[in-house]
Amino acid sequence: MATVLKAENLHKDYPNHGETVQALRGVDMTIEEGRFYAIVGRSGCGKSTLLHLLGGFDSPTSGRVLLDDEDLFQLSDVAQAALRRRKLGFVFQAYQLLPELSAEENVRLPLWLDKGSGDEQWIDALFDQLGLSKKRMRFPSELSGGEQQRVAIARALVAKPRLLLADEPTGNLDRGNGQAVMALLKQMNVSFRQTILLVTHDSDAVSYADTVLKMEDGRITSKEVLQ
Amino acid sequence: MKAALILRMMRRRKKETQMRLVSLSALYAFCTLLLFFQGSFMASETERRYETYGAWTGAVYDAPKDAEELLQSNETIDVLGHIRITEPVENFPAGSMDNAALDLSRIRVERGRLPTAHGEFAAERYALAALGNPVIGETVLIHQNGKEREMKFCGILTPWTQNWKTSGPLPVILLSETETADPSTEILLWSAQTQPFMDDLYDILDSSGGNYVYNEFGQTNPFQGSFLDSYEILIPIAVVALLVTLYALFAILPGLRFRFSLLRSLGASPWNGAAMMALEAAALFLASLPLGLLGGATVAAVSLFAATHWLTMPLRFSVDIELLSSALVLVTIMHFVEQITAGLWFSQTSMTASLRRENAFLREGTLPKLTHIRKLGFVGRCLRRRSFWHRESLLRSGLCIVVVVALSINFATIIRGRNGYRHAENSMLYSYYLNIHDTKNGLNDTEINELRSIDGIVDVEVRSILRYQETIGYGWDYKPILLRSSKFADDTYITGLRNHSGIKDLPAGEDYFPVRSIRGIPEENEEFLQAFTSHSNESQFDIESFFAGESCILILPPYKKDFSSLAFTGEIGLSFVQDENLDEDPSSITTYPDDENALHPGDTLVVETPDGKTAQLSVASILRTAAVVNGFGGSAGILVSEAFWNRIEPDAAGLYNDVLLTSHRDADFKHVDWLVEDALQRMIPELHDFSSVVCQYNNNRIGFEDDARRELDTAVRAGVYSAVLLILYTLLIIAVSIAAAERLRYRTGIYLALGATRRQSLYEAIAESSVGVIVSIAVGGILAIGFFAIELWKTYRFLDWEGLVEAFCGRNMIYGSNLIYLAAAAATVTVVLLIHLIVDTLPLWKIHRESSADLWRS
Repeated sequence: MATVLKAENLHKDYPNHGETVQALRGVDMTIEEGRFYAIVGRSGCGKSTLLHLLGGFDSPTSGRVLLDDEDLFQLSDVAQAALRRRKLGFVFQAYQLLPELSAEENVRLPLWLDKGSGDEQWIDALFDQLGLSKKRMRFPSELSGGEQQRVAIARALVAKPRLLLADEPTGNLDRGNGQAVMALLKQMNVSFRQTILLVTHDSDAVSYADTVLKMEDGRITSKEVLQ
Repeated sequence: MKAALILRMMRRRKKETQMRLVSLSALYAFCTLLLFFQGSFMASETERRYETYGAWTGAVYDAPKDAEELLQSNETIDVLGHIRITEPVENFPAGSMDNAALDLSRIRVERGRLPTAHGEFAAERYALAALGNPVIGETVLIHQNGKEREMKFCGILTPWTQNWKTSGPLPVILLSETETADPSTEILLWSAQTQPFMDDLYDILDSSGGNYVYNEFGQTNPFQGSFLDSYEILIPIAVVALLVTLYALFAILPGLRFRFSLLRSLGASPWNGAAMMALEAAALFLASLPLGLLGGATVAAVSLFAATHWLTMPLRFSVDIELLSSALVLVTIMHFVEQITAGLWFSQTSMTASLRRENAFLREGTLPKLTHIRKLGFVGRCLRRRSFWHRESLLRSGLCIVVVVALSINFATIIRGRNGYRHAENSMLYSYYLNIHDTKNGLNDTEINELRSIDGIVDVEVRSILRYQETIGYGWDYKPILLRSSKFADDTYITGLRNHSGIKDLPAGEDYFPVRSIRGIPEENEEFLQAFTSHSNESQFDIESFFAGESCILILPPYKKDFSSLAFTGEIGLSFVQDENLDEDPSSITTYPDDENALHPGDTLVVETPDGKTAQLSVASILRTAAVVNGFGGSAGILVSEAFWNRIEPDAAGLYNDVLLTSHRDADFKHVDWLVEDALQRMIPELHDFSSVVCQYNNNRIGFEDDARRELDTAVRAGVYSAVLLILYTLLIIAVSIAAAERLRYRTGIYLALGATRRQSLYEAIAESSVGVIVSIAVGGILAIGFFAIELWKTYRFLDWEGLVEAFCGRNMIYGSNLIYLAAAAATVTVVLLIHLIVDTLPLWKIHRESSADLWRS
């Protein structure tokens, strides 16, 4: 299987009241195409930090991230932004939808940023798959938490990214909605061979992954292939 | 991103967009309003000054043709006229003038008509007296150019007005045009409403070698070099623009931060952010500019209309387009720079930090117990609340206190500056001083009003005099004169005598001997001050050589500072007068030198006050009078403190004895004299004993112009600073209230959830806010009163309680400084209360409509 993303010896330090906190202490990992990864670990072990580095939201103290063999942090801001638009999708715990845009506009936003109109069939399919066909024109404030998260997933997938990064996507949802969202992600992984990297501490969510990476103290301490 | 999408997003972010739109529109409106006020004020003031002082006028003798053409093509010149001078008639200048020149020369036909045919003439009174006072229609034998001829007398002209005093030979006998077909001299007269640019004319006249005289009359330009007349006025606009744009930026920061972080996480580049903000800025600009312009101009027009009709002040609606467009460009640039910078800035910020949701407020909040609401008293309840002492409330109270004090001072400065301006300006006019010696008669209010209505009189000021039971020395009329500052009350503490009936003993010391100012000489003239004060006796100081003959009036203490037997100083209208007595050592003067009834320091004298009572005055010091103190045609016999003077009221019958009339620009003093005399004789037939003196202050115009400009600038600056202060204050209060509103929303939500009624929670919030504002205004008020008390103390420190009551409540307040402070305090409290009322109430009404869950979930 082709490698989508590779992290090499990632370190991330944060200054904190005069001291340095080492959030990541040399993370090496490889993400292969079509797989569903889950990163688990206790709060503060560096899961979200790792995800932010992999998405290029933050820069590492040292180490590198290769997305399709391109070093993310060697790219200019503009190139990095373009890469993020086309190859990465991100799902946040708190949905992070723009309240002034309708569900459909939120979904289309990455395409507009890329000055393209996108694949209409794919957009329709997404809305169908996510059960949002009848709510495309609704605004986030008119949607439930689960629906908002589904819109966020649709937005992350609309540009057909190489990798979908999800940061605690069920964290703000009740159990039922959480399971539904995870089922959708799994469906995307299976139906469209969408590569997914999930950060969670929800054991239910972990069960949807096929590979589980365990983090402790800023390091990946184990890798378990479930399927 | 598509422009349409950005605009759609803006439209849907209703609150934020409205806020930005309103703030930018308000900013444009502020510029427009301020500059319309400035422009209208200047236009109105220019017009008023034209009405008061007349036009700029000039006379050019033997003007070359190109000079006349230049004047004709000069847009600022309103009227041109010709005077033709012939050979003298009976040794008086004679000639003719066209109709325009007749107006310009301010010649009035008192009786009869102007000459129209050959052999007719009109003359003014001096010439007529020399011709044997002929009656109109009489034929007179006159001498012209060595020949005798008969001419018909057809009209009496008014005497020449003062503006021709410095001009060359002007006709006092007017002939018909046909008589002056070949004049010996031709004079070109011009008149302009605003000061024309004369340099071009001078250049031509100089190069042509023409004999010209430029005679400028009556006009002054207090705006020249003033804050009002320069681009300096854009500084407060820039400050407000900066404040408003920064405020708008900080208000939208949370939303902006989130939006940008999200867009970046979705792949927007930094330039996308900047472009997006630029587009938003352009949309806001396009929407705000017409709104602001229209709004500001409308408010200005309505205000000026209201002021014109309600305050009976004629105000023009005008604006300097250059200044206005500069201000709008300035604001627009600031707006774009701020928005684009914000775009770039946020594009560079960390996406992870921005996307983190924080709600420190919820973590910090604690549930209050409802029982506390009911148990405590009204004020106590508010004061005991944690929220009352929370940082937002404390910040708001602190701001309120500061603004009350600052505004009070500012408002007092505005009123004082405005009055000072009028006072200095009036000093530039001619004055007509009327003194009624007849102790049985005086002028009552009705008669004063009749004098005021005389054509040519612009101001009437009344005084009453003290009468003496003893002769105390030489000096004009042996009466006290209040010598006042050309400025205001805090600059006038002139004391010569102390009064045992109400005025405290004068403190000794150097307080009485500062060199306050020097007329005609900039106060910063350190060279002069140093030279002057280094002399122990100014009589040895060669003032004339120092000023090289330059006309000026010196305001100076008559003797050196350590000469303790003298006790007056300040701006008391002293003028330098040549006097051989100045060679005398001032320390040797202990009595009036030439008076057999000489007084000594410590002596007492009894005076009769106008209300028929007597007051005992004690001689605090001996003044050098005639040589140093320049009164109206003489000198003051006695100086009393202003505090004492303020207690003097008209006599028991409400009559005034001294009337100071200020003349209109067109007034001929002799004409006014005649009108006043006529009015007096009509009103009080038995009144015979009075004198009148015409005073012309114009020779000190430069000094008064300086004063006027300074006072005007002070008032306007204080006004503009007040506006800026109010805007800043309102913004800060809104910012604090927004922060406080979040807390209030949460608290109200919890209250409602716990069973409080909406009315109850609303009432609690309003009560808490009101108590805070009232307490803050009270504290600010006390501090402001303390400040004013110090100011007032400077003026009234010599008064006992009785005198203080009279000074505050008496009707003879010349400067009305107590009213200034009262008005300032009332205006301040009103403005601050209004701001709080509006800012505090608006969010409450919104909160009142929301559900409990929405509120506490916030």
